[in-house]
Amino acid sequence: MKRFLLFICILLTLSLTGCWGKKELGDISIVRATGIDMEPNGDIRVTILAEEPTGSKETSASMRSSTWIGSDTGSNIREAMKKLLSHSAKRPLWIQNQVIIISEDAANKALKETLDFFVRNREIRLDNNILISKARVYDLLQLPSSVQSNLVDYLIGMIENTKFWSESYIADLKTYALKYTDDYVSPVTGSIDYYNTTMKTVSTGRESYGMLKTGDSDIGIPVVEGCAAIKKDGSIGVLTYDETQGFLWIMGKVKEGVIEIEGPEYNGKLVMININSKIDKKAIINEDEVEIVLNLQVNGDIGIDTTEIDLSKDTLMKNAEKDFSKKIENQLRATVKRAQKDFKTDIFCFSEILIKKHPNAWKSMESDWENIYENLKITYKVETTIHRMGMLNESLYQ
Amino acid sequence: MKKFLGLSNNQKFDEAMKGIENIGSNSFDEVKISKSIDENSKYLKMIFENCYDIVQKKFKIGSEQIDGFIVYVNGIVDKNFVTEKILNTLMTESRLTELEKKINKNKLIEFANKNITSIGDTKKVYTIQEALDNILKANCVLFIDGNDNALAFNIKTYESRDVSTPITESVIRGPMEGYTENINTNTALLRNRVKTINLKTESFEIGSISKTTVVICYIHGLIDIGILKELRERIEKIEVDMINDSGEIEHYIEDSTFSPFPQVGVTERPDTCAAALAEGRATILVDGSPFALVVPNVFAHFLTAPEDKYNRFYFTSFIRLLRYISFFISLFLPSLYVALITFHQEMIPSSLLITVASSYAGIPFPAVVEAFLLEFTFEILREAGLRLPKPIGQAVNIVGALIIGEAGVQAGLSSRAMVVIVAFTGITSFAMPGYNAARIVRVFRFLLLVLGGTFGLFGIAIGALFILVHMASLRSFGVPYLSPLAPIHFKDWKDLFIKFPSKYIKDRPTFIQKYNLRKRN
Repeated sequence: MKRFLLFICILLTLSLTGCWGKKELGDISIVRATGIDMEPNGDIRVTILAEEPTGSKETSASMRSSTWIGSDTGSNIREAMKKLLSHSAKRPLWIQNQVIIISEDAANKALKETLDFFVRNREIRLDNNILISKARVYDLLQLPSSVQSNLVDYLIGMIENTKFWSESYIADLKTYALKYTDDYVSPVTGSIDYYNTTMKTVSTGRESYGMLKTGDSDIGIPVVEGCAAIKKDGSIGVLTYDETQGFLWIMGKVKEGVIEIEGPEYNGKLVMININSKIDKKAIINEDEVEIVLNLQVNGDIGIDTTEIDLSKDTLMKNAEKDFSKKIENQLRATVKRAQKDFKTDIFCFSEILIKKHPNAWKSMESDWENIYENLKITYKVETTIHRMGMLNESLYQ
Repeated sequence: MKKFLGLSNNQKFDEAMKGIENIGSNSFDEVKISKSIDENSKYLKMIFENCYDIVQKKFKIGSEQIDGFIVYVNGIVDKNFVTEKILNTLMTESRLTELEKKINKNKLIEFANKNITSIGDTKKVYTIQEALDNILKANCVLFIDGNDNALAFNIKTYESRDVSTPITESVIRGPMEGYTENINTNTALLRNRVKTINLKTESFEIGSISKTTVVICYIHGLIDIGILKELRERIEKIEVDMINDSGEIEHYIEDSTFSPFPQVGVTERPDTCAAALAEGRATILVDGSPFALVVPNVFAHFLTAPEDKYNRFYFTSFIRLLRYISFFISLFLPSLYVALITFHQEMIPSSLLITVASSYAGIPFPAVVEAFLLEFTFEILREAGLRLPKPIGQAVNIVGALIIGEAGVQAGLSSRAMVVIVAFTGITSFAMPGYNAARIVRVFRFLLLVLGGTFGLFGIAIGALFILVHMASLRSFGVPYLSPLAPIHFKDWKDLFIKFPSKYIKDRPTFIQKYNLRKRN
């Protein structure tokens, strides 16, 4: 009995310590997106989008919380974040942060600090999405969300969509930071911008629907466009949609997506959809020269066919497949050329092949990789197969 | 006492009368039944002084008019038997026989036993103590003048319930009979299902005042001898004055008195008992209690319902998995929830967190306090509703559940999410068939809530570890409490989380006994 009482006493002392790390839900604001800007004076501006529950008994999710947009500057990110507390009613927590947007300026001048902060921070998950913004993030994060209850849900939706779109690629924090710290490759992620337009996306209730056309409501709409890569000099280069697709072919990440060919022999358009791709990257080393061989296998279905040829014929189908291959190869060439001549950084991780497969040869190349990369000889082998024709076996016009 | 009847001439009897103050002692062991019927009558009158329900009826036997009397307890003997088979035969019918003239008057008891009365279950008694015991056990005892022994007729009748549907263990499919308070009915119900000479029913008498009959039933050849020996020993060791229910027996025979987990199974179904016997387990029936005890009983048995054997195996497996899940939910859900929303918000998906958080804006209590208040309310409602008559109990439950819950949310005292959690937890705790084990889960839930509220998941992990370690160290009559999980008996997993079709369960559970495993040859 005495022992039992002693045990209880020891247990009770534990409760004296209080509750370590306790954060009641009513006291926190949930940060969902963080933006990093560079101020003209060299200070860093942190802008956060945080959700704060209102406690409203409304059933719709949008009414139950309000979004707090906080922004402050400091000589480093930590300081700017601490300053945020000076005008925040609740304690911001980054545990649910999903989107990190870095302005091009900040990416150019303070990417090291930014990535270090996010990776080091215990509250930040490594699966955060990283975006590079052309516009000032401070402005971008203040855009009204037209569809979702707040801008972050909107952004998350756009990021999810890129997977079925294959013309943009958004890296997570882990991959991005890993590539950034690698001496021989350069990280790539989505580029975001916004436009003041009444055209692109509109979501509205019935009452205000009529007002849309008449009013001059310049709603800002965020758009993910292509990919942002870091050039050799540290500045940001943006890949166009086409080049991004070329980049994704090489990374083996194209799923879905759309490719179109047209030509006099078709007298119409031929569009491939439901694309699936597989890439095999190899390096061939002949004495001093290095050659990278890209073996790309693409398959997909016909999505649009306005031609007059009969694709059910084998030879004609082969020709069409070859033309698709050619189109893709051109895309690859253009992208690689841009990366080699303009960016002058290895965004395709070619060095990885050499390190893994040819460690001995790599040793001699290591010091001179930047020059070797710029003049790297690359061979393209693209093979396209068309599997299905959709619900029609031949063109409607036949 | 002395005023009323005075001292007897028998010194032994006087001594024994002094010993009467010492409750439970068999002080009349030494006192032989006297040849003088008056003396016997006087003894019994003295002993049963101030006993309204003891009947002593004097009469004359046959044409010889020999003195005799019977003693019995009013109400528990069959009066028809007394009048028809004893009084009538001895007083009137014996005259017609004229036999008693030829035989020695002193052997009349023997003669009455063999030739006159027609009652099957009789017993000769020689001492006053034996006579007393028999009287109290609902026998009618006959004394005849000149005989130094008496005759006890077992004509017990007993006011008890009819065999009816078990209330605590109802089934949709399966036998609908349950034990009653009468031990003879109960053993009969069991014997009716187990028709083998190997079904042994050993009886014990427990309680110095209550003298309750306790019967252990087992199948000889299936039960582990060690377990049986241990069981006998533990029951014999019980020293108590009063046993009203098998629950009291349970307290004396369980392995670990201080463990919160019950180590003895309880059932009011003869079919469950019969199935347990066939597995090599033992059943303890207690007179006056419709609840039989089953030993050894491991934790897995509490998650097994009687119906499991009767339903098809797909459904049984599904339901059993559901039970295991609801066991974990009822144990951990409130504490996990509190831990997640006060310490580990990062583990909740964003949209869910925002929904939950919005229900917390404006709530004046910390989550753990809120959980405590609601859980307490729930438990109080449950307890209050349990003891009340059915119609009132329902009203209490409705008022409690609907009005307090809804009003609490409306008044901003508790969040909707917490009400959902507590209500759901409450429901899951009913899904465990072993009611005595389900109750302890409710207590542990509060402990885990404290741990989860102060240390988060870390605290819950520690708590869960403590519970597991404790369970692993427990034993029920030498059988590890967590078997067949730990130690592992893979063979018995066929009937653990999921149930194999009965065709493919060819062996009896190996963790209970090892000698006679094959169910068929």
